[in-house]
Amino acid sequence: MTANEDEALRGLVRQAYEATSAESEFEVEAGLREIMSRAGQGLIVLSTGSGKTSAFLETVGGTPSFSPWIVYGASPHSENDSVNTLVARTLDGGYSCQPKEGRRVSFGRNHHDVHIPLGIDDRRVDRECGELIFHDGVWTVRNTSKVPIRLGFRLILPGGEPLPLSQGYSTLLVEGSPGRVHALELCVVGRDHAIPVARPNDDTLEPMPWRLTSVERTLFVVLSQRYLLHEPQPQPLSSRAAAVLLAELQPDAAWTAKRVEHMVSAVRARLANAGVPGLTREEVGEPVGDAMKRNLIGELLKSATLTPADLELLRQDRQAVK
Amino acid sequence: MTEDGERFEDFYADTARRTRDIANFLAGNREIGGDAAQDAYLAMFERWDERKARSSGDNRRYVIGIAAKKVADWYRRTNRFVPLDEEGELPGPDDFHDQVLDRLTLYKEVTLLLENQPARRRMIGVLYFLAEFSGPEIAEHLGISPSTVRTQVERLRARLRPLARRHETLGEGGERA
Repeated sequence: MTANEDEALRGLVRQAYEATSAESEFEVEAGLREIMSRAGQGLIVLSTGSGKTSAFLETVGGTPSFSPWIVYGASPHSENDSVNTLVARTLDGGYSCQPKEGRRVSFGRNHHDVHIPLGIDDRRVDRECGELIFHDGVWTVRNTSKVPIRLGFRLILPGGEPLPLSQGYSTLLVEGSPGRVHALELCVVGRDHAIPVARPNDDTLEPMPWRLTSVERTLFVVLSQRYLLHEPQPQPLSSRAAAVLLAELQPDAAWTAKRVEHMVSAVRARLANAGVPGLTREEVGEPVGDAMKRNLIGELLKSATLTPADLELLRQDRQAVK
Repeated sequence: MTEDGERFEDFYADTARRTRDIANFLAGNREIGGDAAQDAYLAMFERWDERKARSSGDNRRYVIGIAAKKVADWYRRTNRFVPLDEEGELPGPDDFHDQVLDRLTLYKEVTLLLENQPARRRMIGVLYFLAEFSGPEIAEHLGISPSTVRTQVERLRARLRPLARRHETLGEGGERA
């Protein structure tokens, strides 16, 4: 095959189609009006917010009453910051969309066909991952792909019911190729009409660690050492294994599995009373398994109560860790 | 074209008929092709602020690409976009009429050759030989592998070659008066 041959074959096919095409009954003006009509019936129009699109709609008899989908600029004071305005950010840009009953915003890899491109270079990401729909005064998110989407601590399953987005900030995470996760940051503007502003010079808010006694700290470092060592898919040590290890560290402290369990329960109850969720049997539901212990360790890590530096406790002289 | 780029309605007026024809050839069905073309222009309208500064040819290829994807999606939804091996081979050009009566008959034979292909191969052929898309572009728009496109284009080349040779003969004075 040569380029010349392809050129000749393309010429032949082109001439053949031109010669045999019946005169089309298609009316261009009617087709254009159909496009405008469909664009004006709830579909979102991509625009830079210059107003040119609306002006164009007026010239062709469309309905300019819908609000444009604007590229979200750096200004925190967007003209579209009314209540329930949806603001979205991805690596590829920022967007905002005013609420309107039935309005649908799709996101996914196929930037030709979705409103918000996400993971456009990652073939593990579906062409369309999901949709955001405004209905009954609430934005909802629904998974239209084949893999779960993470919304905070929840999973949005394929084909499941839409989940409501609360006002304020949330993040959708779409898993891509190994080692890649694609984030779609969303903010539904609340009654304060505030779109989050950049705060580059503000002090960083420090996490609030929980107070633990030295014995409790040693116990939890032992229990959560796989987390602190960044092992893949870590699990807490069992009470029995923790007791064995603690007995080696503190041979005079009479560690047993029962003592480990009692101490863990006491700390868990303390944090649950302070309002930490997921630490009671009622909240976790049956079967409980290790869930409460995992949630407790998760809270201690998230609050920076435990850090990898605490592993040093396990290396100190046994006599010093009493 | 204005300083801000071409207006959407001008672009539509200039290209819609041709795009619709190609979409019809892609679909092998005027209704599906027409819907796909309109859907493609709607998608283009939504992106017009981004696209208007580009050349008309570039945008025309873009909108044909979207239409092709819409047609492919339709076939997928109706389970008609199956692998070619499952569809069986259709008669080659040797099975068509032995005699080429004149140029119009030859042209008809060319269009019939493509129209009678299984859906996916027909779309590949129309996009490659008529819309003049590259292999990687077709693969992207139809969501198939570039190697599949190459294979199917080569098969179509083999079938078009005899017709191209007859076309050359007609050009050399072989056409009937």
